[in-house]
Amino acid sequence: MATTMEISRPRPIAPLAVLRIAFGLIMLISTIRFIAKGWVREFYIVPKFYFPFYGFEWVHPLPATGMYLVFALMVLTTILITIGLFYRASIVTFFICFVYVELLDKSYYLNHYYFVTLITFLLMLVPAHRYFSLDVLRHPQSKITHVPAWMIRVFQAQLCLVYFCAGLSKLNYDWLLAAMPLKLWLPANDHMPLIGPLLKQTWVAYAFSWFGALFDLTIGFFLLYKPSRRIAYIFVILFHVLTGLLFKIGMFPYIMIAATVIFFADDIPQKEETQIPLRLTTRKKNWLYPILALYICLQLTLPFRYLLYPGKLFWTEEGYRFSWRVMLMEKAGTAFFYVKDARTGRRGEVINTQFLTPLQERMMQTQPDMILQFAHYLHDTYDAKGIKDPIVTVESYVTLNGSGSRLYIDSTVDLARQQENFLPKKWILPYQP
Amino acid sequence: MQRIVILFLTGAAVTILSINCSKSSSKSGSNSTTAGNSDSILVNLGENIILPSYQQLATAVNSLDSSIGDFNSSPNATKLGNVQALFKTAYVAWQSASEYDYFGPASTNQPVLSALNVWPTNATLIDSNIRINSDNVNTFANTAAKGFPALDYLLFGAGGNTLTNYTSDAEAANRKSYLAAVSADIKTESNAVLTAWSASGSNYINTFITGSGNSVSSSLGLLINSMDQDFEILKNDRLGIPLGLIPVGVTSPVLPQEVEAYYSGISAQLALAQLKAVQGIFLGNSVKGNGLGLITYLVNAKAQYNGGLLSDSITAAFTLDVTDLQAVPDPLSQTIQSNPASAQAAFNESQKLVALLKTDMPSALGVLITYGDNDGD
Repeated sequence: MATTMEISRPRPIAPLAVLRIAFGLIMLISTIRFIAKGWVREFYIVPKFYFPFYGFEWVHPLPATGMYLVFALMVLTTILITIGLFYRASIVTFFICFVYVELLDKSYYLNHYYFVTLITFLLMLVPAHRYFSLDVLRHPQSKITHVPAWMIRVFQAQLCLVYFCAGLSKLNYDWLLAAMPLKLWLPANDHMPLIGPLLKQTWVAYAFSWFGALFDLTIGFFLLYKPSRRIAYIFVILFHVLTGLLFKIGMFPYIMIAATVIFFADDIPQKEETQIPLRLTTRKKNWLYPILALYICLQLTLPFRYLLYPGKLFWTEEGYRFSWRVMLMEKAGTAFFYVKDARTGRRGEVINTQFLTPLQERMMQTQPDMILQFAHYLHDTYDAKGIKDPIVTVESYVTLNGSGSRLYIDSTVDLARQQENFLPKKWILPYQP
Repeated sequence: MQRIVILFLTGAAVTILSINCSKSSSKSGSNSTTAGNSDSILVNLGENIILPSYQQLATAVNSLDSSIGDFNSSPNATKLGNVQALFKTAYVAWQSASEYDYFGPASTNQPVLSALNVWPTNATLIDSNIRINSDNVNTFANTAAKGFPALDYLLFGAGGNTLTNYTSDAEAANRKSYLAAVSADIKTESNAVLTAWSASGSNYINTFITGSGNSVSSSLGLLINSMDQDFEILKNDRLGIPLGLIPVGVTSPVLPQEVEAYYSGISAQLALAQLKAVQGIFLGNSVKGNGLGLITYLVNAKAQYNGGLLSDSITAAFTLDVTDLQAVPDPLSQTIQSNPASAQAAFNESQKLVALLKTDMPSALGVLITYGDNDGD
């Protein structure tokens, strides 16, 4: 079959080596930055309660020393990945550490952490260390010059999907016709040199919104298409640097700038005169291909699972994560939790900050699944304090894209009785525009 | 291979360079743009509201301290009355400056200014400190035996017998020296924060006025976070806890001993002073009366709230809350037992304000409440 031929056709390996080095370096910087900002302590040592992902409630943080060791291990493995030493062990170890940390608390979920997880996963499947690496220096016979095309294409496809989905999610009323939330966010940068005064203009918010949507929808194709590739990459750099300056989005711009170098697969001349292609054994193919097929299916369906839920996605956030929905909404909330003793009828209000860090509280207040988790935690906490099986309710107010806050969760529902699952949450009040 | 590495490195270099350029230029830029609209709001807030609040506090605690010195030299009923009156003035002044407790000098000077108002005070500890004549109030162990709540106990705790505590009582001398020590500590800390803010001192006022932007470390971000944190104390600690609404009812329905200023009985008056101070920051009510406050940012941004203007909604909510709190008679410790409904109404109204000030206002201004990265595009 033609397609089978195309995906297994030998391609130069150099882009994989470049990606390995660029990605390793960025992740090294990212991890050091994370430690230097004191976030290991603030995010994973200080909190009394964590918000694990559904199905991963068994994942718990280690004691302080353990958490720091995990991050030290990530620093070490990113160095090893970059220089290509003990690559297989390093990339697998890094993957385990990174995923472990991500699973601990969804308060800190960011789409680019999810992206890092995926790229690391794919890097585990490919021999990115068998060219231009210390592993090759140690074992010259391990060097290869060509890999099956899919090993490059899968990264390109992943990136195209990220951008395209991000673009698709911008095709909504708020983003295109109301220029929200950029109309709220951009004026805050009006002290910036040169462009500062412009950012207060409404038309600039519209221009940014439309250009952003257009960029996300098309950039993948411009990167794929050889004649436009260089210009497109310059746009990638400019676009991400600009958003990096305007918004507090951490390492994201640099991760994307590093990852998109994989599109230069055809442009890298290799000097070798004889080709040494990677030969995949049938046994390897037998487990690699199903994994890849499953991976691609998941990637193609996850961003669209929100279609299965009723209501406004930005409001309910059912099917919101893992879908490349970024910077789409300005959402903030305040949640007053009440614990009621069913026997005496006495009701008390909870001070959230006694249990949560400010960041955890902020994230919880706008996300129903986290509100539910916290309600269950309060139930258990006050049950242990002697209020048998208390009723937990919440009076929460949420504002979405500057609409003004309104009641978010049905304040009469006993959240202690509600279970987390993939079904629609009936206790989220419908969005009133 | 080499070309692509070079291309990547060039990209990285351009990125780093442009960030550094922008950082340095924004720094130099902020000094020269004090005439801008947003900065004139910060100027009004800093020079005409915050600084005068600290000046008022310093003046009040200085007068209080000298009146205590006078009282200690020859205690009599007139002088005690004078001290008690000046104590109330100083405590009210403290409420009008507590909104800035969680950023700048008030939070960085050690001990932090908020440590001057930890209640309920530990009367047993104060008594034992007096007995053993231990006047070093600035220790961790004495957190609940210092500041205004300690003065509240020392000056009002014995009711009609207060004067004899300082005259014929066996521990009168020790008590006088403890009273002086608590007052001196308040005086030192309050004046230190004023000096740190003043242009003639560490000049934090300049840092504040020039700290534009909306990041969590900008002046606007710091002020809103600090003010919100302080306002939650009004709702939770000044009203909610004494009313028995917080924490959950494992204890008695109401907790009169938990009110602020339990002995002098001016709790509601203090709460009102705090609420009006927060309202003043919002409306920009300054000594110069030019009305540039947080509301100005909302008006400029044309922030919406359920079909109307957010600035109008918050202004109205403040007015309602002030009215409700004015209807709560002192002493609060008795009101919450005899007529809890009035205090509960004020609590409910404050709760609505918390939601507006913590959710709608920062969201409309794009102010981040916490550190940590956001999702990137």
